[in-house]
Amino acid sequence: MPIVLENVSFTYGTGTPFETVALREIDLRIADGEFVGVMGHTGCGKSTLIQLMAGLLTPAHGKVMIDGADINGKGYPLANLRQRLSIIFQYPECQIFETTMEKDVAFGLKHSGLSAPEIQAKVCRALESVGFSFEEIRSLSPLELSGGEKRRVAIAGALVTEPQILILDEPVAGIDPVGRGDFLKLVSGLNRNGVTVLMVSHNTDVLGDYAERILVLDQGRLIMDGPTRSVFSDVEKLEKLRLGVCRPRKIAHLLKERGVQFPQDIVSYEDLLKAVIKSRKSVAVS
Amino acid sequence: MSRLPAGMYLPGASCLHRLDPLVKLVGFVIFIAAVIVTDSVWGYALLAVFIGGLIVLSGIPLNTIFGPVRRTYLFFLTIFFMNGFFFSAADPLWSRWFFCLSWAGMIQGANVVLRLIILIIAGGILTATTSPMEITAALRRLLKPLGYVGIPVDILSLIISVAIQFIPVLFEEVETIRKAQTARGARFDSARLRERAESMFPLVIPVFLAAFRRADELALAMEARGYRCGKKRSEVAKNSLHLWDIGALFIVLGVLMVQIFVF
Repeated sequence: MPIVLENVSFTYGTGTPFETVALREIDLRIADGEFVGVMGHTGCGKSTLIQLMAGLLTPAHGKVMIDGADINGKGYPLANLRQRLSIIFQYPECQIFETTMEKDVAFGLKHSGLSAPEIQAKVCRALESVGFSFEEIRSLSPLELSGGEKRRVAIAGALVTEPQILILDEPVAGIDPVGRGDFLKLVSGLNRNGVTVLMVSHNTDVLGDYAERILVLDQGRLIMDGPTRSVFSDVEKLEKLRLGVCRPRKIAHLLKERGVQFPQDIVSYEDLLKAVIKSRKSVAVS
Repeated sequence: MSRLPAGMYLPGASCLHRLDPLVKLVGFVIFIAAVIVTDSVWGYALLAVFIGGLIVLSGIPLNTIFGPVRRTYLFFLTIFFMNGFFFSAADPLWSRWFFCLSWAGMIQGANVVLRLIILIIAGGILTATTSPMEITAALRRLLKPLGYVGIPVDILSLIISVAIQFIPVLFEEVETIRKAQTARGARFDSARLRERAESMFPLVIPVFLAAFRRADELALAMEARGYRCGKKRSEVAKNSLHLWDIGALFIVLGVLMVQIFVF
């Protein structure tokens, strides 16, 4: 299900004194199975962008097309789209409302038309994918869980529909390091199985490690769009925007500034390690 | 948010914005009295001129001022016809069953509708030029004498001002949760009543939980910064009435006097 945005603009509060343009003339195409990172300052239009893609907002101009169909067109089955596209908002634990965790996770399948055993099997799989034992968690109430556990339940609630597109808004904010590693492993596993992932984050390290492609938004415009390596190659520009680059890339850049011969096509810690080991070997040989 | 909710504060620097909130509040009460005693064409003309002057002074867009009135026209039509048909049975222009259209009723209906419209507009100007915080501060000053007879005015006004401050926050919360649940497949805009009613649970429960959590956090934050319930609080803004504040009060009083004694 490729996502295509054609000349999309969005304005909040049209016709009121509080009118603000959130997005201007965005053209974008995201293919199946991509892992895309979205960067930008607060208020640059990131959240608006992902809400437009999920059909939660309607663009003022332009078209949002998923799988070739305009999702704001008349008669488009948005309910159907919501079975295939999941969005995990910031602090998703706030959306839990049911009395038991099993019921809450099953909420997304309410209109799926599946039988009760099928729904239970899917709920079980979703809860286990975020590291719970189904039997232990299923009848607990949200009051018995910690914040981090609730977050994982909420994530299971978004994954239970087995979406083909997964949109994440600052998913690792306020999560402990262990939980963060587990969560990112889960997401990249889904991505390897063909799920399109769109991740909004301020955390350039996470984007450098996982995203293949980066979009940079500034004041409602898409100012950079390309493979992670090429977007992060322009360290000066990203620092001028006060977004910065991931630490491995920054280290490579600082080494170059000190006159050290060092590869510059580095975005992940893995790249950095390989480059360091390689350069030590070449020193040892000479 | 495609249009402004009625009664929203619009930040600005007009002379109405800068007028002492207490004067605006008291002036509004006097103005209500003036509107109630008005029942002649000339009286309404004076009120219209006065309101027109306020609108010009406030610099608020006309759309914002007349929007609430335009949106509730059915309400005004209903009031007008209820009065027209039921106010008086004497001297009917037309009557059938228990409907009885009369001149007196239509005049009464027009009176009620005009008064309501004028008051809604005046209330709109008050809330558009005075932030909720200013209004509660003014209320506190107005109610201060009640403190001497043992009514905890400070605590009450704090409760009111916290409640008012949290309205936009709660609205935002509702919006966020609504979107999150919509994305999970909740059907808030379903045509089926049952589905719509059911879809309220995923919205209401998280919003309530969030409100309680926020209240707890706010209480902690306030105590951490030295708030003690029932202790006397100092004020940042010392308000004293300026000449133009008193002048403004006299103008409104003047309108009331003219309505009572001239028309």
